[in-house]
Amino acid sequence: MKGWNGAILRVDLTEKKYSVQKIAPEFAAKWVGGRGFAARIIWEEVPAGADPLGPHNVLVFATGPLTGLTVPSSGKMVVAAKSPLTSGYGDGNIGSMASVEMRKAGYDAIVVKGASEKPVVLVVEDGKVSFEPADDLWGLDTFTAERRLRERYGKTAGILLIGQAGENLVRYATVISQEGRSAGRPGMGAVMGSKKLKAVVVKGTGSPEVHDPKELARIGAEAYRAIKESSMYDFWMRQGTMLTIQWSQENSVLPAYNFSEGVFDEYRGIDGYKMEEYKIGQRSCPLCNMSCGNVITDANGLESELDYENVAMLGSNIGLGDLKKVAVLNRLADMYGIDTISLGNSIGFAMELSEKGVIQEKIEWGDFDAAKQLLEDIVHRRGLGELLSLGVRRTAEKLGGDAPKYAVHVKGLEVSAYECHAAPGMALAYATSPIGAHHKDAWVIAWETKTDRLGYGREKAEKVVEFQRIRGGMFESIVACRLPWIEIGLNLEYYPKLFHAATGVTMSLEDFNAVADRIYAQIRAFWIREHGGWSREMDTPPRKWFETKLTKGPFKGVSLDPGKYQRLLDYYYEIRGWDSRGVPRRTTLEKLGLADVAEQLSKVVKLEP
Amino acid sequence: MIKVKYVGYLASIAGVHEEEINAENAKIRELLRLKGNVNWDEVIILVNGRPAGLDTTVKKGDEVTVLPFTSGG
Ligand code: SF4
Repeated sequence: MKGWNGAILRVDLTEKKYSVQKIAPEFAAKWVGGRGFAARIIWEEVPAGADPLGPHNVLVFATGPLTGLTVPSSGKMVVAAKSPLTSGYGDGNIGSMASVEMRKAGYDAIVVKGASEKPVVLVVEDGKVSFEPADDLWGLDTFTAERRLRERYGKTAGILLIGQAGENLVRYATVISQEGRSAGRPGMGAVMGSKKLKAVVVKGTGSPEVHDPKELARIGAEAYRAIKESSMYDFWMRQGTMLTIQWSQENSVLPAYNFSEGVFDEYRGIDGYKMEEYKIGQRSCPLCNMSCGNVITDANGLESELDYENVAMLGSNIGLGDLKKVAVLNRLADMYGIDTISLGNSIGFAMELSEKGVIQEKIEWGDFDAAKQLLEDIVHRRGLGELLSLGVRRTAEKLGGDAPKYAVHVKGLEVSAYECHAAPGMALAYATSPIGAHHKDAWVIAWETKTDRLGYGREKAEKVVEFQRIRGGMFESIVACRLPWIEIGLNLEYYPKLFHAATGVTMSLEDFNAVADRIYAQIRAFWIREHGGWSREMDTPPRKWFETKLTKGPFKGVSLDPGKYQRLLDYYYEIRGWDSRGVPRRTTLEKLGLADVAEQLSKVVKLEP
Repeated sequence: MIKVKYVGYLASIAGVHEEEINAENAKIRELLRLKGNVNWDEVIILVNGRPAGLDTTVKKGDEVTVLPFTSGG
C-alpha cells in the first residue's frame, strides 16, 4: 500500500500496553482516512451507551493519505471520540506538527483506549512507545506545559495536549497544539482528561512511501503556486478569516448578543482592519503557504492568535467591541484548552439569562471583567461556571423555566459564528452537521445570498449536501485543510490528482462523494444507536431563530419559518436516502457497502426499505 | 449621493474602501470601479444590505456593498 503507512498504533492506557495494527487495503479504500477511519473505529469499538468520560470511550487521532506530504495545507489530523458534550459522535481537525510527525513515525492513526490512573504523557518515537509520568505537568496551562515538553523532546516534536479545562472535564475542552491551534469542539480535550492523558508527543524519522513521488512533487508545487497567484491571496495574507467580521456584518450574519441579532454596532472595533493595526505576526499550520493565524498583542501586552470564529464569539456575541480585550479572552481560552466558540456561546447565554432575569447573577452585555471571571469559573468549575461547563443545552435543562429558549445549540453542540434568523440554508447546514452545530461541514451563506437568501427551495438542501460531501467528506478524510479551495479558489480537481500520485488509487470527485455519503451514514448510525432511535427535532436549528425576530439591520423582522424549514429538511433526507425520521434507509446503507451497519441498526430502530 | 462600499480584496482592486457618488439614479454597474478585472460570479452585491445585481437601479440615499464570494472558513 502506498500513500498510507498502513498502520494504526493501538494504545491501552489502563494496561500501559501498545500494539501495531495493519490496515487492510480494502479498509483504506473504503474509508480513506481521518474522519472516515475515526467514524468506523468509533462505531466498531465504543460500546453503545458507554460513558464518554469513562475508560470505554475510544480516542482517535487520525491522519489521511495526503497528510504531511508536500502538498498545500496538509499538516492536519482529525481528533475524534464519543462526545461528552453531545453524547454523539464528535470530532475536530487540527493543524499541528504532530500530524506530520505521526506520518513520519509510520502510522496513519493512533487509537487510545482505557484510562490511566495517574497523569501520563504518551511518547511515540518511530516504533518506540512509552508512557511517561506527567504529575509535574498536570495542572499546567497548555502554553507552559508545551514549552516544558519541547525542552524535553526537542523543537520539532509533534505535541498535542490539554490544559486545565480538559483536566477538569469541561464538556467543551479541546486539544491544543503550538499555542493556539485547537481541535475537537465537542469535548475531545475532556476525553483526554478523563483518560489522564496530558499530552501526546510524536516524533518520526521516516516518510510515507508514495506511488509517484515526481508527479506528487510536480502537482504539489503547481498547487502551491496557484494559491499564491490567486487575486485573493494578498488580502488573505493581510487579514485571513478576520475579513469575515465585516463580511458577516454587511450580510447580517454576525452573531450579536447571543445570536439575537445579525449586526453589531461596534463591529469596527473588532474587524480585520482593527486587527491589522495591532498585528505583530502570523502563524501557520505545517506545510501551509496561506498562514491564517493572525497574532496581536492583547490588552495585557501578551500574544494572542485570532481568527474570525473566536473574535465573533468572544466579541460581538457577548457585546464586546474591543479587540484587545477579546484577545485576552481568546488567549486564556487557548491556554486553558477550551473551545472559544462554545465558550462565547455560553457566556452570551449567561448574559442573556441575566438580562431576562432567569438567573440572579448580574452579568451585563459587553462586561469584559465579568466575562473573564466567568471564563475562569467555567474552566475551574465553580459557581455558575460549574453549570455552564456542561454546555448550554444541559445548563438550560437544569435551570428549566425559560432558559431553553435562549440556549443556542444543535444536538448539544453550541452554534458557531453565523447568525441564521435570515439564512435558512445555513440553518439547515448547522442542523444536519454530523457533530452538532458547526460550520466546517457546510457553509452556504454566500451562495444563498447570491441566489435566494430567504428561500427554502430544494436547491438549498442540494447545496448543503454538496458542501458536506466535499468539506466534511473529502477534506476530512484525505486530511488536508479546505481553506485553499474555499477561500482562495484552488481548483478542486487538484485533490483527486494529488490523491492518485500519493496512493496510486484513481478516485474521481464523484467517488469521493460516495465515500463522504458512507461516512455520513456511518456517523448517523452511531448517533441513532446512542439515542435508541431518532427524531427530526435533533436535526432542527435552535428555537431562538424561529421564536424571535431580528430587531436591527436590513433583515429586521425576519425569523425562520418552522413549516418551511420542515420541508427543507424533507428535501435533505430525500437527497441523502434517509427516511422521514432522519434514519438511513436499508437500501441506502446497502448501496454504501454498510449492510453490517443496517443489520446492527435494525436492532435499534425499524429500518425503512 | 449614493454610497458604494468595497469589502476585502475588492477594495484593493477598486483602490478605495468606500466613496459617495453624486447621482440621482443609476444602474449599479455604472457606479462600480470594478470592470473587467473581476469575475462577477465571485462577487456579491447588496443594496441597503439586501441582495441585488449589477443591473439593479439604485437611487439617491442608497448604499451599495460589493463583497467577495467567500466561504466562511
Ligand atoms: S489555511 Fe489556516 S487553518 Fe488552513 S492549514 Fe493554513 S494556517 Fe492552517
